[in-house]
Amino acid sequence: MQEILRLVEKPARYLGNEWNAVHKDHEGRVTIALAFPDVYEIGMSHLGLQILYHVANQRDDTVAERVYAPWTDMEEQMRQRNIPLFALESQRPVREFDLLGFTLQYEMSFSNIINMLDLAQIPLLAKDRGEDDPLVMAGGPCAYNPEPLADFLDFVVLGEAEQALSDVIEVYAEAKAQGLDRYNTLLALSRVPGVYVPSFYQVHYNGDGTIAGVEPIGDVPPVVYKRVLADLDPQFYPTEPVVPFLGTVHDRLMLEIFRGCTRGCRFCQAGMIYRPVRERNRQDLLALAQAALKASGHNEVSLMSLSTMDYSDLSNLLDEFLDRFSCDHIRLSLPSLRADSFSVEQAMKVQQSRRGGLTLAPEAGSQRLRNVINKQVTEDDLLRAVASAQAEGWQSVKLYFMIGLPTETNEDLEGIYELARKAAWAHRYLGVQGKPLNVTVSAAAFVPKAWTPFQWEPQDSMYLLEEKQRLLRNLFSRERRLKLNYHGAELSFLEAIFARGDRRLGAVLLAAHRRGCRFDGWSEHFSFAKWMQAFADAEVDPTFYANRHRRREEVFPWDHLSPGVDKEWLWQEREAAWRQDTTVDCRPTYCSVCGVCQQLPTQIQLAKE
Amino acid sequence: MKYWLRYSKSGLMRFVGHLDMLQTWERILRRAGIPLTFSQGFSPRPLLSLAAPLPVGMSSYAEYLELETREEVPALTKMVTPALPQGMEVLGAVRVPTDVKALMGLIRYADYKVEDLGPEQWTCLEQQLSSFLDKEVVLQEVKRKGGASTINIRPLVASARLEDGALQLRLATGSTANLRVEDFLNQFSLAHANLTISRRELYLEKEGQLFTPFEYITCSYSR
Ligand code: SF4
Repeated sequence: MQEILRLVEKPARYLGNEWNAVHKDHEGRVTIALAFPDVYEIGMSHLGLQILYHVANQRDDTVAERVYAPWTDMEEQMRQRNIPLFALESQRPVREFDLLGFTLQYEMSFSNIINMLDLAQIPLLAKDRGEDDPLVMAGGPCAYNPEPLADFLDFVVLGEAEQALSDVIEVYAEAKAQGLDRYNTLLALSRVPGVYVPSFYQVHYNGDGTIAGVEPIGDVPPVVYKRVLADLDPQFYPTEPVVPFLGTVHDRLMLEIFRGCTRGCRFCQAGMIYRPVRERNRQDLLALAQAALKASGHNEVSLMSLSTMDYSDLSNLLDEFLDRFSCDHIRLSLPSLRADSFSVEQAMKVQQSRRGGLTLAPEAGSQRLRNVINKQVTEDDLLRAVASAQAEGWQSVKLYFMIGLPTETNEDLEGIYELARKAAWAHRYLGVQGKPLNVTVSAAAFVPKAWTPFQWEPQDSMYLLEEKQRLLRNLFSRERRLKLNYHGAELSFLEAIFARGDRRLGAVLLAAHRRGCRFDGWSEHFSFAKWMQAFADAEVDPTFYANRHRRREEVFPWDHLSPGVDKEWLWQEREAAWRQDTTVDCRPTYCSVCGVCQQLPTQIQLAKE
Repeated sequence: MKYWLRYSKSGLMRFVGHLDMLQTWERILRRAGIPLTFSQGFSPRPLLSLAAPLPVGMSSYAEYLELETREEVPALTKMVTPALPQGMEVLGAVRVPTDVKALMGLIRYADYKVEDLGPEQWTCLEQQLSSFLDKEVVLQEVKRKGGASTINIRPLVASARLEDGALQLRLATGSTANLRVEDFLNQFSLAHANLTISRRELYLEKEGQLFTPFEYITCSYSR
């Protein structure tokens, strides 16, 4: 092992002796390999996996270890020497573990999952696995439509896994003690709320390729609902996080201040599937930060959530944080700002340096389109925020937009340019002194996702997206202060296919794997041509998934995997979008009855009423 | 308060890169509750530095960290030890008078031990080492930041001898002159993939004599 560590570019990715890594004897314990299907630096920046690592290892009857996708140089060495994929802590092959769990964070990591199974020397298809192979499970946001991976996964855990993982471990341990075989173990697991066993459901198709129905085989629930915590119990938070030796993407303490988002942006899957909002209280947060800083030695805390500025007690929280930690030079970072002056004020409190630039996300270029997507930011809010940032010494602003949103016209695209221009000269617009700012606009292509009000919408064709990019490029070339960034439409197209794909895409994933697709999120490895060949190999039409109008009554591949939000409510939201009607935030005083709090044992929880 | 800390870096820790070690040290010292001193300015950094870069994959029993603290820390070693990852060990600490220059700039030589030489490699060295040492000029191509350049490596080798079944080297190290073990071994066409190389000591120079960092402090300031 040490021999190959000399031969790879970043050996520190594979050591497993990081601070707070847990080393336990495997004997007599349920063994779980927690896998992140991307490179170490990205996987280690993910709080969810650290939480599960902590929850599983808190149990004496369980040992959880980590595994990340080996970078291509490592993969080459492993394949040459026939070294199977191993878990970091014990360096044991993951195929010797009881459970192998993948987190599904983004569709473009699916090819890495197949490749990791292959490297692990585990049969790729669930149906080919034997009694000695691990049960391959998955969770995370893409688990709300895991159907493209249905052939490869033994089971899926929907929703928040803090408690569900313990249930799974207990049922698994019991099954093992009773000597149950694979099939019966899965049957026992399918009784755990939140657990979905794809092979226990049969999908029937219509002549036009759409789904006629999903039929449960035997005694399994017709709809699996997500697991959700009633509140964010501090005992689940990893106060002893694993500390990497090499720089990772989020190389700091990640403190989750709340889960869920009240905003209800209609394009946003996270805003739908993580409902309802549950905030931690200030005292818990300070205590958790204190404990985790001491145990890790981190010098920075990131206040994580989907929309940190919406934390109800933010101002007090920041004041107390600074009070308590600034003498030790602990930095605070706020990952997402809202486009308003309050946000800029808060950002000023915590950021002594203005170098990073200010990042705001108006998402659409016109008020009309912002109403359609329910992004409740006005031009005035945005310009005021920018102007106050300008007055405070920031020199650059980043603005995030989407292109290809439903109902978008050229006017909306021109609106992006206009808004960026006004932002650069925000001071003038508001009649105050100041220097113009540099504005960077990032324009991502809209990808319709399952379980959002836009799940019925087609994605713009690649041709149209490229047209739109061209239009923007021409506009932006007029102004030296404005910079435009966008990604290739190809990746967004593939994302859109898998985000709303069904089981027939399993054949495409296999074909893509055979053609060597992996690390698709990395431009140096992404090959659109190979993917298109894979679709041809499997005789699957990708536009059927990405660019098709879906009828209201269409049965979706994910209808039986519910985050608690009603499909009917989503349709109402979609109708509201077309009328350009906005929907108010969900707050204790207002609820649009989306279904989550009605169907699941949970409710909105704020730190401050 | 300024301290020099001697530590070892072996086992899996060999694979943690030099640039990542500063961050690792900051975390170790924070976990240990050492009252670090920070730089001024917009983004304050703890005042920490490492004496000499160590190639990734090489063990060392003579790494030195220079650190500054806000107050005296008499139990430095004792405090730091429980916060160390597997593969690192503190081997001693010395309080350094504030007028001593930065350690990084003072380092002149390092000792290396090259082990696991095969019988052929051993014989080859036995035959060639003394003629190498007899010469005054030995031109050798070495890798530098910009690319390769040819330099006279002979003055950069203070000593090289076969002893206790290993090749013991003392090579120029530091900001004024530096020779990497790898470049020295290339002179003898030794494939170093199978060799075990470790750093054993660092030296400073004072009035023509070499001292280890700790000796340097005790002999200069003992009176
Ligand atoms: S049911 Fe109401 S309060 Fe609960 S998440 Fe949905 S909109 Fe918000």
